[in-house]
Amino acid sequence: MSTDTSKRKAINWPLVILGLAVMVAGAVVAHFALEPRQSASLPEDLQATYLPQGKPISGLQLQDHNQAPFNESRFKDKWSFLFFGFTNCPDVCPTTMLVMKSVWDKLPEAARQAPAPEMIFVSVDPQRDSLDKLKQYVTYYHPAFLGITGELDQIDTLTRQLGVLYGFEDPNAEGNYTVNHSSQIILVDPQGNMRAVFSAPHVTDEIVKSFIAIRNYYNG
Amino acid sequence: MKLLHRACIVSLFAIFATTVHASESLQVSDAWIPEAPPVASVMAGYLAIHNPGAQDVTISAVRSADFASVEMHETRMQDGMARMVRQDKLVIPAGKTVMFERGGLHLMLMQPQRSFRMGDRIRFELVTSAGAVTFSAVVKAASLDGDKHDHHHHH
Repeated sequence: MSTDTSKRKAINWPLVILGLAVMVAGAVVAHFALEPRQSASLPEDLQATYLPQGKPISGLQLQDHNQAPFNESRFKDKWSFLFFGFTNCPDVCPTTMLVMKSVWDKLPEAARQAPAPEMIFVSVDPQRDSLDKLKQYVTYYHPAFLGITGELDQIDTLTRQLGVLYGFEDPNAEGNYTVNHSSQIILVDPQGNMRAVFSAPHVTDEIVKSFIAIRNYYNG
Repeated sequence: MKLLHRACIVSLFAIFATTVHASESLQVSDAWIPEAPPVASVMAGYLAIHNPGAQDVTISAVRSADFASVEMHETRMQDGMARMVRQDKLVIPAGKTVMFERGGLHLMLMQPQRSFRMGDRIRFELVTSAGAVTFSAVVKAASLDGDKHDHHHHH
């Protein structure tokens, strides 16, 4: 009896391993083959304007808050969220920065896998927003966030390509002025193309959901 | 001297009495200020202003010793841009509540005169057609959740 048992075991082990291997292979195939099929189309209720062709961005000569040059090559190999504003803005800009922070916090681990998306605040008020001030402002909301700005004509090079508007109001008696600006969040794909627009009012959960759908669709 | 003293007290009572009878003071609730980056030279104030009286009340100024100046502003979407529109005067209609909240009316608080911490209470004064109204606003964490308060709205 005992020899029979050991013989049976000797025969069964390779079968068990083969069986497990088939299951693992099946799971791997299912994971890689099925996931892109799930995202073959974008949801019809996508809460974003998606640009099917994408729109290449070029000719940027801006600076980031660490004094490093910022051109379109900085968009490569990661998704970027861009929002335009100025630090002397009490209502819209802090609210949108909180939306960006909340989007970041709510991103599932898979969507945050390296490279993580870049959350960028573009100041359209370089006269008052020095790179240092910009750094302190942006990193207050999240240490990973990036502030960029530059000469007005360089900012225009970016805003014109993205369809973002801004304009300065006349200063008051104390010399204070406000800046009117578009409040949409722009999504740039890892090849540096403008890919989607999230219009205000921003609902954090919708942005997260739309981004994941767009990212899956783009990768698929 | 004693007579003069009494006259003063009487006239003081008269002043108070007139104020109370003229129109009812505005009531401020849920006043709060989102904490801002220390470099921010402007902040926002949000609140609810209720007029319990039978007459409209006009706010002509807002003051606070903790800011160089305070203005009432409204964020408006215009030509695809968010615009800040200053309100030199604001009427709170009789029996109505006007909300100052994100993306709408807000107090624009310019040049903080000191740094604030969460939980700080900041004193304000509304200058209105029904007299001055003082209130304090609490500094809260800069979070979208800060907008949720105990105020009951009709849904």
